Amino acid sequence: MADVVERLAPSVVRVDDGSRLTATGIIWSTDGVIVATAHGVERDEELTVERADGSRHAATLVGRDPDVDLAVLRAEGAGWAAAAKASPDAVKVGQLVLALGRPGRMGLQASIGIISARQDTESKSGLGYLLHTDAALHPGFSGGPLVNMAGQVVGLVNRMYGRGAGMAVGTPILQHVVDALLAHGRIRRGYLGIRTQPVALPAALRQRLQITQEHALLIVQVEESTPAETAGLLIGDTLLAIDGQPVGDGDSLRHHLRRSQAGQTIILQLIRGGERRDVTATLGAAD
Amino acid sequence: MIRVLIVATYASVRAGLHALLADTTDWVIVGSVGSSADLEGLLTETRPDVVLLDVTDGDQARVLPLLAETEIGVVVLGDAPEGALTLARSSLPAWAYLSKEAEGPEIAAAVRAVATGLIATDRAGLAALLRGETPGADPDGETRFAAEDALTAREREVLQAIALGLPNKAIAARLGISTHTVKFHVAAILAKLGAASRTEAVTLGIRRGDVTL
Repeated sequence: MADVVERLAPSVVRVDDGSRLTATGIIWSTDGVIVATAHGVERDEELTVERADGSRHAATLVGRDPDVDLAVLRAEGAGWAAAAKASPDAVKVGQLVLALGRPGRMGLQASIGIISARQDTESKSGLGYLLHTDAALHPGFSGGPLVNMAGQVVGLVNRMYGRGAGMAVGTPILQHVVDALLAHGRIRRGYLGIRTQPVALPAALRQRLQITQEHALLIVQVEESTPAETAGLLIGDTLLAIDGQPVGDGDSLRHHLRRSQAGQTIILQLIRGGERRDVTATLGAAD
Repeated sequence: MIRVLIVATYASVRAGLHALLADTTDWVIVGSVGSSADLEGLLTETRPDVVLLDVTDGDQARVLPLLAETEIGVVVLGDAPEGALTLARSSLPAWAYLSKEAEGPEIAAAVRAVATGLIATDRAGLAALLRGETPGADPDGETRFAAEDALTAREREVLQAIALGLPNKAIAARLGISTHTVKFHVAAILAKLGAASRTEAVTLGIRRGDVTL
């Protein structure tokens, strides 16, 4: 196990955003691209990363992906040791894993656990996964790697994501975010042009319209010159589902749009004036 | 088609509400009166789905019990957010509370929400509801969604840029302000939303309806 830690140690950096707390990052490629958590780089003007040998390097923020709380940095200098990544097919529940972090001034730290659950997700970039682990995630571990016994990264740990439970974002999602942020500086996703608030659907209404879902989204704003306005969405419409997938809260709408892209046609299932109706919209790009 | 009955004390207000709501195609104004007198007969005659109410407190006290016995929803335009508490404590099937200063799109949203059977209020009304239901729950006397926690237009723009994942420098360039000002706005947004990070601010902002998706 110490061999695994030793092998990965050069690829684990301490990320310092100038705040009191420091975070961890993973060296993703040999040209100095580093992946960390977005919440670990709240201040983004004077970032530095510290390598295993103690050398400190200035870094710039390429971009953040708030949907999955990730950030991509590019560090100055050379000789960056990229971490090895596990094949997604080889990541299985029950595998022994180590969580590595480089918090504060105490150098590299490790804790041990297993992959206790794997939650597969689907996006336009293909399949991805989130991992649950019982490995202890100490303060400052966020952004560090979860590694298998072959010394390969299976995910990036995040203390905030699971609100106390150990969570890690799988390598396919990390790769997608790195590629998107390096190419565009942000994540491209579908855009409707609405602001919404969650509402509970009264039982009588659900019964009358034969709806099983209990929550939906009340449209409280339709921005001008957006796909939503073009599609004829109105303030006060209640959004039930998109393409048959219920959207009971803002997070589900957000993740649906994340999986979509500009130009894509979607069908919005609504309640308007107490009656159900379908509206077709062609998504734009969030910019 | 939603059937709307306007009950407003002043003729100018009735005319204003007519004008505000004239451009819509999914409802029809079935009547417009100045007081609660004869309202019972009018309700039977016009069969509204929603009553849009902008009257004196005394008149309101007469109208609400009438509506509570029906399936008709009500949108109240009031001058004290505590009016939302009165509505919440009534047995009205669906209601909305808005300030008298509410603009057309807000009133339209409220009418459609109430016609759908939902309960809606503006932020000040919600703050009054939270205060009313949990007195003294917050030692500072503040609530999470208090009116003073509403984001300014500029803060919304900054939050929208944060939701795109942009660094401070890019946000500054996009909005034509300094990075120092961006940081000032970010701090205000985090404080108002009670968020510990930008990531959490985006999540909370989406839930509050402060982020356009």
